[in-house]
Amino acid sequence: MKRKKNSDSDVTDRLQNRLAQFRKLLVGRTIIEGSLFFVAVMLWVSTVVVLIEAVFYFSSLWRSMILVFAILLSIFLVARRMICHLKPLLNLHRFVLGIESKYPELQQRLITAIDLNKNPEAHDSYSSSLFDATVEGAEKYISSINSRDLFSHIRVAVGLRYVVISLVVPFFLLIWNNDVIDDSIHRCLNPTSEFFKPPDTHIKITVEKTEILRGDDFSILATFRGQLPRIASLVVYEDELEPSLVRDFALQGSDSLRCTLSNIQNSFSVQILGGDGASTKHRVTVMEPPFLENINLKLKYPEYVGIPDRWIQGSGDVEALIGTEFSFEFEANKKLRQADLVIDDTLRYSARIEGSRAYTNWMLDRDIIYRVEILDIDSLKNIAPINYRLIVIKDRFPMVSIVKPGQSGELPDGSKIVLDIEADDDFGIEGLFVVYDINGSQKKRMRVSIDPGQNIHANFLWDLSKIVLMPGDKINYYAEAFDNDGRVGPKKGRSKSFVVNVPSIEERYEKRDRLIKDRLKEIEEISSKNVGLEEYFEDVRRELLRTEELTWERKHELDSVLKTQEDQVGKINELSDKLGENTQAINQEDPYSKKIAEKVREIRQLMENVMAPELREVLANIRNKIDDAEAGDLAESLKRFIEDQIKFQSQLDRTIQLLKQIKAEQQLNSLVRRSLELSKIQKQINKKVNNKEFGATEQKQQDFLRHEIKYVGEFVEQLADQMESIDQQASSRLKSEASQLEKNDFGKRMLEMVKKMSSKSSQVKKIGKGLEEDLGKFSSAMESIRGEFIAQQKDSLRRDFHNVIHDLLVLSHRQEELFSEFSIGEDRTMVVASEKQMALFKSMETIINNLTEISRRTMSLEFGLKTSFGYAIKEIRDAASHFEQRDLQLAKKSQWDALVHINETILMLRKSLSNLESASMPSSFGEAMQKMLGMSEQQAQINQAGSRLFKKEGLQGSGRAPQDLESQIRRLASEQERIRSALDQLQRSLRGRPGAQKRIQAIGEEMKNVIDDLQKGRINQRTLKRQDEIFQRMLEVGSSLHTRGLKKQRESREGDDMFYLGPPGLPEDLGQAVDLLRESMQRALEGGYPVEYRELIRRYYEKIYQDTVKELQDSQ
Amino acid sequence: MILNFLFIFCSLQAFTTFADSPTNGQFVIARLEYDGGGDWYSDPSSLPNLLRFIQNHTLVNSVDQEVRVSLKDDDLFRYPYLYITGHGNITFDDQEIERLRRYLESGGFLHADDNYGMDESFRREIRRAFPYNQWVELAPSHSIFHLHFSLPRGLPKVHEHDGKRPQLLGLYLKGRLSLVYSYQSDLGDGWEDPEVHNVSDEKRESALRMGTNIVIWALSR
Repeated sequence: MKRKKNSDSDVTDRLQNRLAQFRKLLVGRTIIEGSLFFVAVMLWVSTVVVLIEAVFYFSSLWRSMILVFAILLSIFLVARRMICHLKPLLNLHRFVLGIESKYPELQQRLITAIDLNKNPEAHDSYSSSLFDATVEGAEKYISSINSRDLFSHIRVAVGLRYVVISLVVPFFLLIWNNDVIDDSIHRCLNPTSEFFKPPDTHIKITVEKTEILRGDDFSILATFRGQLPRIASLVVYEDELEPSLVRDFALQGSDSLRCTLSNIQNSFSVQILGGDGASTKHRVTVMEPPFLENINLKLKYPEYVGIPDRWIQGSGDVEALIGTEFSFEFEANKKLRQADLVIDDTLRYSARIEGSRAYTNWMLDRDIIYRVEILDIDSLKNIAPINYRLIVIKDRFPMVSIVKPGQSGELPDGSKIVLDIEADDDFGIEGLFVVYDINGSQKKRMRVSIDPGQNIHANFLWDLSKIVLMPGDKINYYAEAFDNDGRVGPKKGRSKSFVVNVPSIEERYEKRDRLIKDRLKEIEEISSKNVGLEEYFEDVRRELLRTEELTWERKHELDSVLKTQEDQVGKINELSDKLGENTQAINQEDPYSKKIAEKVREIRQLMENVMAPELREVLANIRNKIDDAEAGDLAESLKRFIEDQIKFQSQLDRTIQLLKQIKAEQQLNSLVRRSLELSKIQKQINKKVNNKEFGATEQKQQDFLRHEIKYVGEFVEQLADQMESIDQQASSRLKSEASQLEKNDFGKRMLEMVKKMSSKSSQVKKIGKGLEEDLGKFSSAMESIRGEFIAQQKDSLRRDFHNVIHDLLVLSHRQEELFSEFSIGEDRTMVVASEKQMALFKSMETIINNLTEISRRTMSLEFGLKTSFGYAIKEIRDAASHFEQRDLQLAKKSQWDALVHINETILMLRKSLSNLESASMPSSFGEAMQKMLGMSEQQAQINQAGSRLFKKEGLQGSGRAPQDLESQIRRLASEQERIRSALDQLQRSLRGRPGAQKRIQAIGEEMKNVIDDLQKGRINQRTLKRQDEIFQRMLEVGSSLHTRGLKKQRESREGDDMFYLGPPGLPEDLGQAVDLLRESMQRALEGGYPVEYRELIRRYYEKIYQDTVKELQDSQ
Repeated sequence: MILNFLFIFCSLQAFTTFADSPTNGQFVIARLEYDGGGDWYSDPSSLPNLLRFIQNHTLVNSVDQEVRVSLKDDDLFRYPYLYITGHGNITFDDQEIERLRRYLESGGFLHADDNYGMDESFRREIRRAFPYNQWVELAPSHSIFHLHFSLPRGLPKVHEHDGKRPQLLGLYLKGRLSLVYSYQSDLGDGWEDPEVHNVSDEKRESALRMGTNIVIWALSR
């Protein structure tokens, strides 16, 4: 039974252990659940507190109280819940009943077992077996219960859910990252700490960078939250104490503000204020950027330039020659780490760095723009580096100009042109050329000898006679100069082009015709003005003789007339010079015209006679007599003057006649040459036709001939009329030729030939041949007419020469007889001798007149003939005078001298006749010109040599040349002396041409000065200037001796285009203004008035208008 | 271009009815003779060259020789296009001033070309004729520079003269450009034979083009 009892006790223990185990588990679970609940509650309460704090911003006391309350509330809730859940577990009966309610199979068994077991007295009331069975059944069932089945986890899960749910709100609040919430949390975590209440306006500023370069701009962005202020202030602190800048901005409802501070120089702090809010301060630090303080350039020029190296400081913009080597030195304000030379924004070259300096080189080959980009040791770049320029000075092209003649013109006489060429270049001229072409054909080049240098002045004598030129040709020429550029090759400069025209046949003719006409007209005018003067003077003379006294008015009148007469003489003087020039021109232009030229020259002599000293003396006497008021002498003077007047008139009339003859002769000459030319051209055309080489050119030529022959026909007719009063025979022959020309119908035949040439017809050859024959006949006829004409003139002159020679021989013979006849000094004999000698003198008048007449018709008289004959006249008259004075010795001497001079004159006349016979020989004037040109050339060479010497040694002022140069200078002196001697000879040969002689004399005097300088071994600027003047004068003399015919053209320079700078458009009123007067007139004119009234109205208004305009102009 | 030609052609037809031209309906430029000493006859080859250029480059049927007319000539109103140039003084007497005024107001056109030296006297005389009107400068955008040939840079500067900017000045009468004055340009020298003034081909071409444009302008307005 005992064993039985022991067995029951074990079951009960096991049951109780089992139940205790169950209760322990349940209590643990309940505690976990309570803890989770506590956490959840705390989270919720905390969240609520934080939110409340965020909203109300409590003080620390209130905040602490709320927190305590929240904690207590949490504890209370948890505790209450824990009690509710733990209470059934802590009571055994309630715990067992709870199990039984979960497991109905244990109904009443377990509680019974527990109760009975606790209450031993109950054992007695119940059967032990029942009790045991109950206990065993409960224990058995309890043992079979899995504790997991007994304890549900639901409550723990619910607790966790609470926790999770309570975390949601804080989680989102944390994610929100709201400063208010953050601050609230912060305050709640420090409940006892005192916090200031944050402002209503929250300002946050954002800056892009906190370090900027000096001079940069700085931007700041302020963002406003909370209560937006109306005005925000930017406050800048350069030091931390006081703001250095406050700038207000109106926000106008915007919640952000961007402001910029420009050109920052110093570090600073910045803050934005607005409403009750203020942003945090931001510190901005200013950094100093690197920059170039100086640029030094060393220029090394190309060798050919010859300029030494040069330093340029402080400037990066330089102009230099291409090929110049630049050495750069850049100086920065701080130490550098890197420096780059950037060329044209594309090329980059690193420079060598030494501290704050950088070095590099560049060879200038073109225009460049460069800058220097530097990097300091803080890796700061220079801001906006300056762009500099290196400009290539394009080694200037040489400048060359033809100073003289400096204009286009006609081919000069002698076909020589002296070109005065000046050239200069910045670094030197090495070559000088004259380039020319004829009628645009291939250009030819002539080198001008020069000494290389920067400024060249060269004289070049261009002999065009070596070139085959035809009438109408145009020689285009210019000068070219080459410089010494050794790098890119010599550059060429070119002068302005000029043209030398070879006058065409027609031009020559027209020119001569015009000249003659002009002179004729002038002479006729002067002549007509003189008509009547002699009558007037005769009246005065008679009045003087009658009254023996001249009234004051009459004197005055006479004086006035005399003055007029003097003016006339002056004009004649000018005319004489012009005629002289024409003579030379005509003489040079045509070898056939020598005779004509000689005559024109004679007119010049005639004019010189008119204004000869004798006439001037007469005029002076009259003037003096008027002043002295001696009527008798005055009458005598007037008589002499009147005689001169009549003589003058006759001379002029003869001159006019002579000029008309010359004109006709000129035209005849032109006609002959023209006909020859036409014939020649026709031959050339036919030659081409025969060779079947004709084309458009020949067609044009033939057409040209067609026009020309028409003109020639008209010309022949005109000439025939003109020749009628000069040479009847020539005139009739010309008329005959004119009619023959008409018969030949050249125009029609030539036109036909042109047409046939177009169609290449076989008849061309035949027509051409016919034309050639007829033109040949025509030109032959013209030559024949001219030949006959000239021969006739020569015959006439020859006869006159022979007559004068004969008369002179007679005179000589008679003088010789008189010389032999009177050798005794008796008074009676002497008287007879005087009378005979005087008779001889008077007989010379015929010879004088005849000789004068000859001299008016030919220029072949020897120079000095007039002088010799003059001496002969003088000696014959002196002999008569000496006989009269009874001075036999002197009389005999004069007789002998007279004889000698007469014989000299005869010899000279023979020579003159010989000159006339050889009419094709050039005149002495032409020879003079040749001599002058030759000397001019030599002078130019001497000038150049002098200039070279001067430059070579750099002699300045009047300093003496070194010893070694003296010999060279003396050589120049001797050369100059030689030219002067030649000039003296020329001067002597120009006897009878006082103007030319005077000019040559002036040159000679200037030369003496130069020679003096040179002989003293002295050459200076003055010497050179004198030399140049000599040369210029020589050329001028040459020009005056010739009609050079260079036609001056108006010089002008082409303009460069310019940009428009005026107003962009037209004014609204188009520059018009209301013209009330005009409008009024228009209305009046349109008023329906009759025509005559309208005209009156118009006049009326015009008058007012004119007055108005005048007033306007006066007011301006 | 074709439209342009047609326009000019039609204008020319209208122009030929303006006056019974003594040149059988062909266009001609009348050179204005004047007193005062200036060389109204200067640049003799200029107008023939310009007329030939116009003949060759436009549909205008022109003669190749100028005619000469003075303001007092009866024929004045038969030439709707006058040209005046010179280097010296220009004077018009009162009658000439009145005739010039009537000519221009009646639809005539005058091109004055400053050949250097005429500026002062010419402006003075025009002032006498039209005291209330002002010269207006025609900018390169003006259609006279683009009417036939395009001259985007405006009036070419043919000769240097005083080195001043060339100006094309206009005088409007009743809203019509009646007088054109090329100042400091010397178009006439540019129209002359090339060898006369050695003007470059390019410059010469520009001058002729400008002259053509002025003529076309006068004919088409």
